[in-house]
Amino acid sequence: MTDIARRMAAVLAREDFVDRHLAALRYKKGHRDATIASIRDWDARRERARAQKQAVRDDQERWIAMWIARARAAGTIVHEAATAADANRIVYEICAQQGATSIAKSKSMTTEECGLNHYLADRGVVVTDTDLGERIVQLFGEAPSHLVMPAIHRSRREIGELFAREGLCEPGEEDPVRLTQAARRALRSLFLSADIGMSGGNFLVAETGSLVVIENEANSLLGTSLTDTHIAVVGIEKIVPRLADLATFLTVLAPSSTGQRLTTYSTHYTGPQPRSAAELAAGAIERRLHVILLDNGRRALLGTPAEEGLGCIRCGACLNVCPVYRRSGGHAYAWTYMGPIGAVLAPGLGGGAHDDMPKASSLCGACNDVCPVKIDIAGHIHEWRGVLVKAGRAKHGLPPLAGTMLANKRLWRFGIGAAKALGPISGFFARRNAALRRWQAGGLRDLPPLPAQSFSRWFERRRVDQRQGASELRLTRGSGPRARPTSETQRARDDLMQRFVSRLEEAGGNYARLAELAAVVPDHAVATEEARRLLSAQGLERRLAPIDKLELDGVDVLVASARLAIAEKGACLVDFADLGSRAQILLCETLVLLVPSDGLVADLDEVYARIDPNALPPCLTFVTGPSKTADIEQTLVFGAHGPRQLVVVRLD
Amino acid sequence: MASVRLFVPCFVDELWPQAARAAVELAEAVGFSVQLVDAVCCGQALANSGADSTKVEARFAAAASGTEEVVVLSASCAGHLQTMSGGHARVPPVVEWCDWFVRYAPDRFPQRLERRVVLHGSCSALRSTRNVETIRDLLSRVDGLEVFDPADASECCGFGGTFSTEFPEMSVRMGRDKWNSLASAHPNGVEGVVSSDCSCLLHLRAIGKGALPCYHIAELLRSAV
Repeated sequence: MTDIARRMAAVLAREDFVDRHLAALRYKKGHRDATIASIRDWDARRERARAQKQAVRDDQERWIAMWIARARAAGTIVHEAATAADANRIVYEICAQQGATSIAKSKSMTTEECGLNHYLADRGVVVTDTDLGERIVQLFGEAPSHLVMPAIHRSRREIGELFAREGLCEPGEEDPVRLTQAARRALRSLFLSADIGMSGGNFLVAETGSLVVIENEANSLLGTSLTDTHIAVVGIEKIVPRLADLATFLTVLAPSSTGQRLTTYSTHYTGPQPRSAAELAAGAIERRLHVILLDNGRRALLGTPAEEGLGCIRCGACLNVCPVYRRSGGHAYAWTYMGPIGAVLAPGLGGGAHDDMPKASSLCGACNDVCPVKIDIAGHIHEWRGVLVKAGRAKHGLPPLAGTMLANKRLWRFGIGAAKALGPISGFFARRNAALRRWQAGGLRDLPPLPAQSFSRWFERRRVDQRQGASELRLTRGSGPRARPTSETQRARDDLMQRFVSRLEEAGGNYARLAELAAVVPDHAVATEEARRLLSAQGLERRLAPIDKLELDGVDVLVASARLAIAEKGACLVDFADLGSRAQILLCETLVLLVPSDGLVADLDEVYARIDPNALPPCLTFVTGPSKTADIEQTLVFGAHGPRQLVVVRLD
Repeated sequence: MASVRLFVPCFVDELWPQAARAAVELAEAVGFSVQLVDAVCCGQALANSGADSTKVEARFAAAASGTEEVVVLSASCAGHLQTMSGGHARVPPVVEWCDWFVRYAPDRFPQRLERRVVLHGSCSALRSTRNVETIRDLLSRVDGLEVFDPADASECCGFGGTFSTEFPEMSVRMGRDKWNSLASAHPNGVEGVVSSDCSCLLHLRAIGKGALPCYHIAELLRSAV
């Protein structure tokens, strides 16, 4: 028995865990299916995403060089790390140079892969994971058990007990909303005092040198807005060719991952984030952006069954549908990347320690059905099995003579005949034979009865009988296959604005008409300069106080401006240009975004078509609803780290 | 008389012969004489486990040569043969039995079958031969037969070849979950499980221990003649 089979057997003995985990992932899959059903060009988008990732791999070094050159031109400090050890060392050197001892880090599987937290802890640098799920597993002293839902293996009760032990809440607390609020309170002071903000990266845009980070909680944006230094550790495989390609990748990622149309914040960092005049006047220093491009075995995957796995965008959809992962949880894989995609990468990236992962699959292919970049996951697991057995790195698990017997009918018949003749003692055989014993699994499965007459014997005998004139059945041939009537989905061609509002509400946001502004904005609300200008241009007499340019924590309602509203996603494009401090739109309790009247577009393609890649602002983010998390038992809680409420107002 | 070339895989031949007998009788009933592909195995069992399958595949290719198409009585073997690579094996076009039989099957079968059955769409039928709709079409031609889908219909039954003995606990748990959803596909219960894959049926029958009869679709259609 392989180690992974033993670990999985141990998990399966805990039936209550398996039941809960299985139910949570089936629920997730339901969300995904419901969202995808309403995306018109789903399969075409997947195919485009696959082709773009393939195109980058076909000319990988050129795209990497282009990204590095453009990122440097934008002021990003780019480091190349050949190994995990190199990446860790580079991060530490940056900390040491600045005398930094505390890092607020958002979700990053790549730093998990590197073991960065432990490395830095040994050197006196404290890394706090700020994503709620990551924070939970960090406090438990565990690794994430899922690519996007790190704490899915933990129940609300376990999390409540943990938080009580850590002094974050009263003993006995199990309510996901209050537990999330407890974590938010504890982490907010940390955000405000951290020396360095760290993140991973979802995409690197070669054309513009941009780093794209997507998240739901606002912890990544907060960590990188409140510190002077942002360090991102990103695998080289995250490169996409053009800015406009993001329309495809962002469209397929969130629905596959969480069933959202767009993740709450999709942030495009192009170079370090500039300080506002107010911040500079107050003595703030200019920010730095370091990106560490990690190889760590990735280049060596080209030409192996793991190559296509480099296209993975870490959505976790394959985990959510995998019947094995659904029941085993992520820790049973004992590696950073778990489940089906983990099995594709493990023999290539796992240093020989995880060669048993491709065995942990029934090859059912459910992963292939959902992969948003159409990786042939099951096919590559299948390929690895052959490669590993051939290389002596794994055993195939069949009887030694199986290949010979199955290629030779006489031998096969002799073998089967012997088994039948030995019928009376076959019970003895079944008890002794390891494979048959495992099949029976302690009486949970019956052995199949071995019918006395095989089909081929019947067929041979019958041919003889038929020559003697036996007659048989007659059926009238029919008219062939019938196409089942497919239900025409009547897609209401609602107008863009209606669509925007319904999708915004789906993401947890609210829409208000200009006339309703007074009702949604209380007297103590504050506004940015640009928002005040927009409102006065509307002839509105409301006198909203300007926000103190350096005000951070403690703002209740902030009115700010957005550039565009994206109907298909219910999202707003924000460029931070009118903020004295970037974090302001994340630290307020309620955010009101004003969208100009000509700012409504259909979908992301149109957004990118309107943006000149050569004149990209240093930061753009799509805001889709209020900050949120579902890291505690899938319960959706608004206000994970950022605003609890988002109201969008379209100006006439 | 027109003839058809049928391949009955090793495990169907020995462990579920009733499906192959029914398939032959149905083919003859719509006017075909049946010739068998004289090979034991298509190589799938070996290839899926990482063992060298080239010899077995070459043997299959030699036995199947010289014919227009090969009809395979197993969705998973058909899927393997359809995607089989390797320069050695020139296999004629492969068609899964349901996809072949639907071309000639009667629009209505002569016998009524008053029975509530649940359809197990195997992983191969769902994702490899992609012919679950064909199976439904065939079953819909039997009067009285009611066909239901289980919850989580697209989830694997947990067989997976050597997976079932290398991960017995996982395989059994998957099988049990599948069995429970099949058995509860109708509030008043179902009277049988039907599938186009005998490998799933072998696993499900072993899990269900005879609580419900399991049929290959050919068996069910044969009993409607």
